[in-house]
Amino acid sequence: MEERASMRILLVDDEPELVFTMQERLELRGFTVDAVTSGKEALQRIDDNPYDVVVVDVKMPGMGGGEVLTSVRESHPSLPVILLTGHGGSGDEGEEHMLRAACAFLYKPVKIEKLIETMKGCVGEQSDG
Amino acid sequence: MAERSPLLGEKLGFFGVVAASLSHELKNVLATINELAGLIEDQSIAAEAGRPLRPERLQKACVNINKQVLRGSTLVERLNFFAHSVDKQVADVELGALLTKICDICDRFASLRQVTLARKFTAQELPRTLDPFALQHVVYLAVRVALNVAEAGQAVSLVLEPLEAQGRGCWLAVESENPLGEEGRSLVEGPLMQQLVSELGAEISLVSAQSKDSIVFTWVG
Repeated sequence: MEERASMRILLVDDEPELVFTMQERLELRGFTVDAVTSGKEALQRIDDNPYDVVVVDVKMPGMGGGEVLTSVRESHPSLPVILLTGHGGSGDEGEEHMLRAACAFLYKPVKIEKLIETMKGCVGEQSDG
Repeated sequence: MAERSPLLGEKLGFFGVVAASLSHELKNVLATINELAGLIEDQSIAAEAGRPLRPERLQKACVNINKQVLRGSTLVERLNFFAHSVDKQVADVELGALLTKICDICDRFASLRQVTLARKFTAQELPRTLDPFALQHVVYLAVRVALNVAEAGQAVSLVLEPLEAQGRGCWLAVESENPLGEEGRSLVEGPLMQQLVSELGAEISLVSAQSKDSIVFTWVG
């Protein structure tokens, strides 16, 4: 299970049980992971830490994932952001718009293998670019 | 294909917003259970590989799965009740109980704006015969405009009281801590609200006092 990965990840979701369990599972696999429950806290962490990838929930109280993404695009243009959503993949116009600015868009619930594969893909794209 | 009437479009829109909100929250429940179950699997795989098993972590994960199942069950009950509220155009309802249901649904819209939805309902039972879906719709519309002008940390209050010396009459107010502005006026005077209020046999008014606005629905007699 452990990948001895060097990737440094920030997880952002207002569901504490969800985000901290994801953190625990990724750490079991050797990743370095921080987890926060608000967009505002996420931006602070991003300013203070050299993350390789950010995974953020779209719908959160206050600052949602879309706003986090917009802010990160301005302050850290090369940092890959993956959006997580509880919507059912309905082709919502707002989500389609965000998808163009995000590295990837994942629908909850997401398999951890799929999440890791997506994160690696985004970080790889970044390295290749 | 025949075009939908504007009123039917608005009603379907309300139904869709509520169904999407509840299903979104259900996705969060499922995602959390998915992670907790995955953690239990991770722990068992790690134990097979010789790592010490952490029974307390497994127990905590199981407790939290049970909590999420209860949360999911409550959400399904809300969705089910809401879906069936269109079954009868006229039904005998207890206003406090029905308003509690729509407040539970609106809580998520409020929390996304970091606003509290306060219930200030009389303890007295207030039975009425009306369209339960239309009542939920007008409350949602009033709460939505109040949320649109609310700031983080503020409250939107729903007040339900009997009318003194008016037999079975009562009033329901959606109180904002801020002026509701043009959006509030347009909502109260607009054809959608007027039609819904008429269907409910109620009267509606926008009441302003000390820079705070309330949308008040009144049932006389």
